[in-house]
Amino acid sequence: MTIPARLGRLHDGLTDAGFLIGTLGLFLMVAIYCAEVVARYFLGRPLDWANDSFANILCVSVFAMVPHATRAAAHIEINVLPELVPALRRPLAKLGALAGTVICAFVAWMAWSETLRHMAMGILTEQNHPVPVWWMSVWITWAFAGSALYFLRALTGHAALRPLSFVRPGDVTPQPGGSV
Amino acid sequence: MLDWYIPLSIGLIALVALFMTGMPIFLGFLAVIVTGVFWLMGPAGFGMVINSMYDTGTTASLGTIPLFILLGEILFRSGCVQVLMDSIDTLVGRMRGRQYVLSISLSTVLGALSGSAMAVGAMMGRSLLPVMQAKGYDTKLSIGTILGGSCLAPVIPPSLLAIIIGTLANVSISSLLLGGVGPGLFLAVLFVAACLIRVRLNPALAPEEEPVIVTARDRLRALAGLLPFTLIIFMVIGLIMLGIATPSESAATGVVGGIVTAAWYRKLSLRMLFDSFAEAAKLASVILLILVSAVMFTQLLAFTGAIGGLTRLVTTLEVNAWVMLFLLMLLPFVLCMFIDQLGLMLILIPIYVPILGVYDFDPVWFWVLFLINITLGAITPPFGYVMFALKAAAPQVAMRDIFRASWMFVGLTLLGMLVMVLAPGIVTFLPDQFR
Amino acid sequence: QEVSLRMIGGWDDRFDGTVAIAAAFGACVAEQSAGRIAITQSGPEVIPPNQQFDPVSRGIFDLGFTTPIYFLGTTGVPSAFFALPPDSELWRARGYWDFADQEMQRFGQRLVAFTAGTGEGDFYQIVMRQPVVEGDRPLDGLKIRGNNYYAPLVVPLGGSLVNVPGGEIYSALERGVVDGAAYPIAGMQRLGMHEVTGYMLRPRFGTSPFLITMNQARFDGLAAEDQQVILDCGHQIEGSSTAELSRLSEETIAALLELGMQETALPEAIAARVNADLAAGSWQTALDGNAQSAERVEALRAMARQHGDAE
Ligand code: NA
Ligand code: NA
Repeated sequence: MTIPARLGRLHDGLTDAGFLIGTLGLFLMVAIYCAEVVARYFLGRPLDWANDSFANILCVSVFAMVPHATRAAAHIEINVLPELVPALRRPLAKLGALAGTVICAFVAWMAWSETLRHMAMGILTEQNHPVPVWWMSVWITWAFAGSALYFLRALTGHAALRPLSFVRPGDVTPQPGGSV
Repeated sequence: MLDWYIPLSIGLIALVALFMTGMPIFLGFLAVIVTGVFWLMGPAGFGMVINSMYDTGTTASLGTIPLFILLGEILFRSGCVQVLMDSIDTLVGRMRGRQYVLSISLSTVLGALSGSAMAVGAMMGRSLLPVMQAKGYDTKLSIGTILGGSCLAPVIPPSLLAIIIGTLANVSISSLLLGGVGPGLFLAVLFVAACLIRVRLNPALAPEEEPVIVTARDRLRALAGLLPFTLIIFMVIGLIMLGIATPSESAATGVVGGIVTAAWYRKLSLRMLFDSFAEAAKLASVILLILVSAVMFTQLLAFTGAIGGLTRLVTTLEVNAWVMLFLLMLLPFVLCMFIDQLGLMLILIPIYVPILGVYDFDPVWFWVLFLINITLGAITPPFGYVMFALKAAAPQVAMRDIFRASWMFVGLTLLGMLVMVLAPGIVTFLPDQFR
Repeated sequence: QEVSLRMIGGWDDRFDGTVAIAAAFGACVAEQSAGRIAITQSGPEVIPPNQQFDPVSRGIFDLGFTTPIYFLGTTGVPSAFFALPPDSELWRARGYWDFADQEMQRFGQRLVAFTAGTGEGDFYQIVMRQPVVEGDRPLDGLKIRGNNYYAPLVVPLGGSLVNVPGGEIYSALERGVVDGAAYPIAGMQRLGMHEVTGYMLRPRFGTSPFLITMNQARFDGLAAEDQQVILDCGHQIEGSSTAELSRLSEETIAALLELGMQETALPEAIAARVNADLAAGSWQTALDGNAQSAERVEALRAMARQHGDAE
């Protein structure tokens, strides 16, 4: 196996891990709010950590899942120009991958610098049970670094971003529960 | 500092141009944000971008977005939607054009279960539209009923749009949810009436259907089949009304209701549950990524003074309240033809809040009208999520037909909004009862 | 020579403190500098309230107006002012003010004003759907919306705290998800609390310091006379805002009574201890909320003990 292929496998594996973390996060969110309703209404003892941990897990879940969403070409686009002018489809797709690489890499760098500052200064959440902010902000770096790599792999032809399920007009079978 | 309208116009034009290239929406936002922050604040502002994302990402009320999507996933993947369709099919009486009535009724019921128009549009396009076409119903009118019906989902509670509006505009979320019940039902009735009138005027729109014998027993059984779904409605809206759960929490209890309903029909499996959670988490991630970007874009506009400037501009117009209401509704209607409703909402709501104070509009009434207007953006050509969802769900229909089909229901919805302006009780009656 | 300064604040104009502290400070500076220094105000629509500390350190904004709670994650020292007797003159006289200024300078900012809320331990009240019950657990089984600040008051009386998001307080009270809500008094009428609750718990309690800080480099770059204007106005606003917030607080109470709300009182023995208990809790929050600044909070507490301002 070539080195790029090995790195690609590693990248895919990490993305899978993020996918599982995001899924588990959603499960925990349901569990926490249901536990809070039961604890507050039926036991009369609200959980003072429920709302805060729900919020923290939401953040982790959303950003942990982003590289998978990029790999699955799940991001929402407005395909007006490519639909109107089919000849532009390929160049615009290349342009999109290039923009994705550059922008996501830059935002990942911004996020990493800020996460380092959160760590260095020991910044905590302003919650009833404070936790380090970097526990959440590190996932922003994860989201954009992972996506930048997928855009790069698409740009260089090492990986295709395949629509796995999300709606893209006339492209794939949609799944329910799409956007608003 | 530059005059506010220069960065505002450059920002908006750049945003629309980037969207049009077909690049992911969040990338368009980020490109404008990073450039704008560098231009206006220098590299010192980069940390702010990340902290803003972190802050929006940890906003608990936005957690309802994944939860509502999850509920829709569970219902669809478990096959509960099919059960629902069969029951309502049995219940709708025999009349010329009954499939149109069925289509609107079914989407109304789905709307009461789901908070997402796109979810309902995709489910309907896959399940009911082929049936209607096979029976010889008019394709355009059939599509129209689905488009119109789907738009009831965010108006009838539960509704994630209503929760987002409530959070951003600082109005009672339970009042907003309740305020959507009247308009949702009123629009459904309006749609049904319009379809029946059109069928009466032009019988070619609806074929004669084979008479099917439906006994009282069948109806009873169909009614019983619907009962488990009331559990979900209760677990969402009931728990809010009884003071057991907050609006945010009710989305989570609704998910439990969905799982119990699936179990009731013996359609529960670990595989189905995992797929639902995974898919919902992915879709929510995609939507929230756009949202955190759109919020940062809005904050950047505010930094330039554009939001304050625009507000001062509109508030100094000194037009009367009705003209102002018309302008406030016209703006999102026109913009929603072209851009993302969610992002637009985040930009408009902070601008609108101070204006509402000046004109003394009832906040619940105004924001419900705004909600309907924003929802309508999903079916106004050329850019609309529900139309895309339908096209993808039913590849046999032409995009052109979808565009044409939508206008009748856009018109009906606008007519409905006009009635709600003249008779505000349609919106305010129910929330007032619970105040 | 003109000086233009940008100020970021934690609230929009609907919060009385924005008017009584931030806007009044801006007016004072404009007046004392004869219009030479102009301050433009921005609010949470630009930067979320709890993210405003760092932009002032970085100089994206020149001035910040906020509550110490919002940077508890960065430093706990200003939060400890919740535990001090609410009197900014006393803070200046006994060295607490300078102590806080030193702390801000660690983060590239300097202290301009540290206001003491209403100047009495009566900044907050709990509004309730029902009156308190008899006995030594007057809040028995009741759910009160609020964060940990209120724990020393609510928990020993048998109540429990529920963390309802800001936008959902009204509907949570309306539907009885919570039985009461702790909130600053000024502003309660605007939030329509009287529409969803009937009772105001007595005593009123607690204090709420606010501070104005300035980016250190920007401050150092000002001419000496301009620096003096900034500092003088900061001092002046400490006094005037306290009087103004007290007046607004009293006005709100009068209006709420007028609107039909009634008072429901805790037993005298409990009432007498409330503020001391809250202060003890605030010291603990300032210490626990941030391990990195805990030593400095302890130093401040040692100072306060010396002066008899802490137990
Ligand atoms: Na709905
Ligand atoms: Na549209």
